[in-house]
Amino acid sequence: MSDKPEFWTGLEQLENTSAPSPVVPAIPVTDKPSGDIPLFSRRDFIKLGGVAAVFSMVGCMRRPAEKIVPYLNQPENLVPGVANFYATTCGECPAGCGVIARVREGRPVKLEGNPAHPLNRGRLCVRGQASLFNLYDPGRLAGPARKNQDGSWAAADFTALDAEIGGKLATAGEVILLTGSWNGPARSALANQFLAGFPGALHVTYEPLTDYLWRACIARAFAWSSPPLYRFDRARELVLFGSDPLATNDQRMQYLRDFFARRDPESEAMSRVVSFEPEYTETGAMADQRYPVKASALYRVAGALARILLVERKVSGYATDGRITSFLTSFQPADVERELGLPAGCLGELAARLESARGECLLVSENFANSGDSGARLHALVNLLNAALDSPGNTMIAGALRDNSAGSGPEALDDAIAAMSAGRVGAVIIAGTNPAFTLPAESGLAGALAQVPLKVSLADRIDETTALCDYVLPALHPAESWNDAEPLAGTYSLQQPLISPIWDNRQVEQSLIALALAAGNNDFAAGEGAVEWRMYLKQYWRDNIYPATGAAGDFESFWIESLQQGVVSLPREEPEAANPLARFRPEALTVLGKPDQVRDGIELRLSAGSIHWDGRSMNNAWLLETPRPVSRVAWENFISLAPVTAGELGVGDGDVVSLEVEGRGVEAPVLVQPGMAAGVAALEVGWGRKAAGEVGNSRGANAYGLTGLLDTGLHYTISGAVISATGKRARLASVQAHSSTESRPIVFSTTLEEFSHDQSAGQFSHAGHDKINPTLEEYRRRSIWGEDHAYPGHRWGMAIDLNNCTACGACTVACMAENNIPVVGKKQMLNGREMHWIRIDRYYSGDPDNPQLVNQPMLCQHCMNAPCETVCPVVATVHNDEGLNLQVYNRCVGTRYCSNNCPYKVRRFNWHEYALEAYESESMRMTLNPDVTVREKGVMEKCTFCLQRIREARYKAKERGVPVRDGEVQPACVQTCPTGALVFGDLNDPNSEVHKLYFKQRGFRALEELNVVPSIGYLTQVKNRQPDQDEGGHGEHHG
Amino acid sequence: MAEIRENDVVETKELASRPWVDEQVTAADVTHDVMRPMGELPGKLWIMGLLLAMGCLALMFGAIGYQLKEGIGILGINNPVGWGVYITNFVFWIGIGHAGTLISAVLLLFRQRWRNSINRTAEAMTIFAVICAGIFPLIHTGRPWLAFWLVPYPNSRLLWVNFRSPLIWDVFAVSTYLTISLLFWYQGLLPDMATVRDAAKNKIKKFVFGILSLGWRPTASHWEHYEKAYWQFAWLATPLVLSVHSIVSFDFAVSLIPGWHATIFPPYFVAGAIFSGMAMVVTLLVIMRKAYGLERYITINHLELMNKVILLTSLMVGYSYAMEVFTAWYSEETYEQFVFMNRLTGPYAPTILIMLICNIVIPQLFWSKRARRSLPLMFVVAIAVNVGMWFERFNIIVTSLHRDFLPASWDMYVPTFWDWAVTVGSFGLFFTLFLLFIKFFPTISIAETKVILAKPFRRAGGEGA
Repeated sequence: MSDKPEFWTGLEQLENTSAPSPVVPAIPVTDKPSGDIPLFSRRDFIKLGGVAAVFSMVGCMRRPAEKIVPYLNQPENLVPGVANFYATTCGECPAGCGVIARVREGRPVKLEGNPAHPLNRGRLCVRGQASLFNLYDPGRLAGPARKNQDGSWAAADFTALDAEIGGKLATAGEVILLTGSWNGPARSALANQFLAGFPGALHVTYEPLTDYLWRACIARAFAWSSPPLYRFDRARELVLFGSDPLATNDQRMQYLRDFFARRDPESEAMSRVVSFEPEYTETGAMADQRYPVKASALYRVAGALARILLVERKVSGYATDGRITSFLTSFQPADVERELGLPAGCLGELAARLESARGECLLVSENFANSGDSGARLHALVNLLNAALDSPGNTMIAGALRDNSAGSGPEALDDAIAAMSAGRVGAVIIAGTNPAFTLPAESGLAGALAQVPLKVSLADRIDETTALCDYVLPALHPAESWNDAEPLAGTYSLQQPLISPIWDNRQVEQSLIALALAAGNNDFAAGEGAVEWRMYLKQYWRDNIYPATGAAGDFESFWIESLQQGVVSLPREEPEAANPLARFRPEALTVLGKPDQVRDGIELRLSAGSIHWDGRSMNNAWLLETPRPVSRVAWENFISLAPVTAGELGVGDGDVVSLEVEGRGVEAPVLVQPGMAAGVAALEVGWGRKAAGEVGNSRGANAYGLTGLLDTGLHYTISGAVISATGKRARLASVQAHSSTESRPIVFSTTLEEFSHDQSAGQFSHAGHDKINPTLEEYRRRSIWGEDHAYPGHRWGMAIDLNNCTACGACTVACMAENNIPVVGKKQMLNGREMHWIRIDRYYSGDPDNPQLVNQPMLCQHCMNAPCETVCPVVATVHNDEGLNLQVYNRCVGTRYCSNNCPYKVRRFNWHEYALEAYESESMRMTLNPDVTVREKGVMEKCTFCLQRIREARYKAKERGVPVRDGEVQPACVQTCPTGALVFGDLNDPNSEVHKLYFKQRGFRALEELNVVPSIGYLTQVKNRQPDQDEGGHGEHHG
Repeated sequence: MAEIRENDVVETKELASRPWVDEQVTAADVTHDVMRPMGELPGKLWIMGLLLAMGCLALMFGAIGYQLKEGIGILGINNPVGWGVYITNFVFWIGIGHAGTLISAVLLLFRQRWRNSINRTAEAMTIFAVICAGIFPLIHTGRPWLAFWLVPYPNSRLLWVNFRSPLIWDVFAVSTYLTISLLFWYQGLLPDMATVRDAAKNKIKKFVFGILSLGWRPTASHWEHYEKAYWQFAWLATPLVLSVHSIVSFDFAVSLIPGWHATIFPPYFVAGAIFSGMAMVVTLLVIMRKAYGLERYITINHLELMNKVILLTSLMVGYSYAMEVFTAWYSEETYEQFVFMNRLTGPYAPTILIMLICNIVIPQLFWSKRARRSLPLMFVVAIAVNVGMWFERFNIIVTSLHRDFLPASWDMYVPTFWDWAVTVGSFGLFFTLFLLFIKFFPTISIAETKVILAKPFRRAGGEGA
């Protein structure tokens, strides 16, 4: 080690040093550049020089020395100050959504959905938005490394390591390639070709949040191996069994779109959603009726429904199958309702509605946590119900998703672990998965890996699994990579690099090629060196995709066009002659024996959410600071308990408890969560990382460690947990301390029936305040400014549909990326100082044990009679003639009077030098959007409706000579909202979408009676349920 | 002021003729007694007091320095609660000042001769209190180095201030108040400083007071001009007693926050200001007259009169409290009603309890003449009133903000060490200035006190000629 240049000697040092700098002259290099950093090409050098010049302009330091260095040679297609846009594919999860990346002076500054992509249609989820942060994450490795004898890591270079590892691989014998989901035709071909070079080689894929049990049950029930695609847009009746398809499913972007396509109360057939669930999920919050039910009892609900439908109502041909009806005899609906605390007769009523909606209904049980015996029963019964109700072919589509089941899942992984333990495996290459973290210790992975002579990790940091390996060849971020994906069967999405690799890392695919070549697989030789992965990919597309599309023209123009579009869809194959899911096989039920005994005690339910998902991006501060839906807590996980259960245990919010189950245990703080099923403790997975990086390490408790490991696979629902108070207290970083509207006219909720009689149902104002007739003229009459504030041209406004907000957080993170909003950290958040310009307020109403919920995106309301404007002593916040409330950072002295006087408390103050702290590392500064000022300490800031985007559209319109078109300006939050809950536009234009929504009868302004006349209109939440079930009464929100 | 006169209507005649200073005191005694502390080495108590005050002042400087470096985030304030202890202190200190102006200007216009021996100290207190108050709006801003932007002056940036903002009105109100008070006080000092100059044996002292007294000679023409100017200043200062705290109350009343937005605020704040200011004058005088042996000049009669003012203003403040609650109830305004319920039963309820006990209950002791004339008792009551009034402002500011319109943004405000450091430091600044004043300046107006002596030349013989 002494003769090598020292890179870093241990994890602590790695985490404490700021990221090694690329060779950029204008930025002081903090670390001594090691000899291993390769020289940059002249072009890269100049590109980065330009980047550096932009840095000095954006003002990351208080009094920056302004050096603007012109390009010596202007790079092609690059005009300083003008963004380039590239179509690519998101790599944050296996879904493969399309992305349009905004690139400024050679660095991506914002990701948005690709409108041409069929999965996400221009929208991007919260993790997709935040994946930009991962690109610049200073926690990434700066180059490859080799583990020393003493467990420390020494930097090395790729050439030497390729030769060294290749030599060992050549003689390794059995090789296992262990990856995350490996979706994409070219990369699948590459993996196959790689494995072909090693006899007996195996490719094992594992994703912790994929519901492998559900897939197996689908296969067993229908003899069909690929997972079906749900069509929520075709489902009039939707029943969820502990399933959260809008939060964690790979296809969630499509599901969100489809789900809310049926949630418009003014449409003909608004869907009706019922959810039986143990924890309060994001999807459950959207349901019209949710019933808290223990996870282990969910199958009994499905069984009772099946019994009513098949045995009592004789629905479908399965009703005559003795094997099925005899299986259903044990599910007495009345018993189930009584024992699970459901309202009497609710299942009969639900069954009747389902029957009347045959072919237009859907029952969903997919969720990784619906595991074990009860999970298998649940899936089998739900498959039966779907088959009986004609869901297959209507609301469940076979063949829309590619079958990737071969070699995947916990069984395959278990086999691989067994092979490793037995010493049969000579080498393991691990990429895109972190089983040492996501599997419980009892899985034996650590011991098994110790038996393997050669372990190579292709992770981008020394994560928990990499720490068990011998070598790390760090991967590139998807934004630095070439790749392809197949998000839907027959739809191919391309990924292209948006920036040169920031550090000395190499793409996973290129590393596989290099290793195979070094091991003697000459398939990958090209000239003197290895095949370039980019050329491999292109060649694959030339040989396979291009012919299949039947595109006219030569391949090069097809390739260029595909890159520009980002996505290629094959011509739709002829509709399936036979529906492969048509026939439910009763064996799927009969293989189930007697149900497992449910042990006494608390039932532990591991959960996952849309923001942190499986925990892979735990070093992503944008995500860490985004409060989770329902709980509104950030920065850590917690044990959710129903109020009644918490009361029985004698614990409350913030009490740290120890949870023991099957000999495993964690300590975590409690959050009393109304709406949880009694006797259930939910804990989110993905937390408690030991090696995520400086920001994400040791946050929360590792729920994966509690996973049960039985013969039937991994169990995420485990009964018999014991919770005991430790006497310690913790403060949860909750952004919302109070959940009731206190009967104030802030959010409104009504039922479909009431709404059909009165479009303004549910709305109220206090005595003495008349409901304002919503017209622009009326507002003008009520203006405190008289004719001073005319809006002659545009008048920007927003409409927000409270029906459609799942609180997923995509808007919040999109806004952070667009507007350079700093992360402030848990401590500041505990003091109410988060900087988010758009937040989601969550209000409960109704039954305190099972409340309904309204999510309200809250951002600057750009009031016509803005209270902030009149009180600012230095005119730092002013109104413009387009209805925008502007904040002039340079003029602000920071009296905070504007914030005090804001009824919505949407103004954000820089209490400290947040921007300097958040963008301390050079790589993080590269995330900064050069179009938006970085604010210094002591300055007030707030939502600007993305003023920079409005100006850009106006300039373009001016050039064009045609006014800005409706929908042309979209603030970052509106642009990304996966459900389209936010709509932005010109209120002066009577034909604009926003005008129509804003002035609807269903529309209202929050706190309208204050007469501040917000430019943001909300639409009343409408639930498709009976008014008499609405315990709280409309408009009454007591939480 | 009318109330004061009505209250004392029986005594009016007596007030005019009654000797407010001990009847045995002669003019020479006045000069001697008032100037004695200036010529002596400072006492132990004074030195200890000054060290303590300067220690607190140093703490404040340290805290402000740290705040400039780290940002105002070192304080406890947060998103819903944008103003905290700093603005509480601002309102508190501005309020303290009002009693001084009341005594020195208003009582002059009403020819209340009892003011003559206490106005100097009261007016000094005003100036120091306004200085203390003035610091807080400055340092509470996020970028204090740019706070001068609140001053409308022609500048190359062609920027102007927002005259709609009450904070701009504050700038004018407070700066006017400080200017007038300072000039008024200084003019009153001129004859006395000339006396000091003339009596000084020390050359430096003679020189300094020579400069400070601006060439004052006790000629008829000087006295004529002096009297004219003094009365004019009194006329200028009198409306400020009403206007300054009214304008400070506009900071709140003009906003739309429930609990702030109330039309009763201006008179309520003015009454509260005189209430707390009188309490502060009593606190200071009780100590000073004892320490400097000025009992013959600042008599128990003076203190009793001020205690009556305290009792009266306590009742006015109590009425305001009651009216606020009544208005909230009568208006059927849910937000307003919530604020008062939250004040009484919410997490900050203890502070309102302190406020009610200190401001409403304890001052009722002054219905008893014995209590009004008991030094220890009046000292306790005066301290209680000051504590109570500080918490009144804290209550108004914090409880209104911490739970405003949207329940989702409700939060708590807990002052940090730095909040308290600067608060304690402002008392340090006040007492540093005050202690320096009583050591180096005549604490009682020599000239004006001589006017009200019963027998100025009893022992004088031919000395006066």
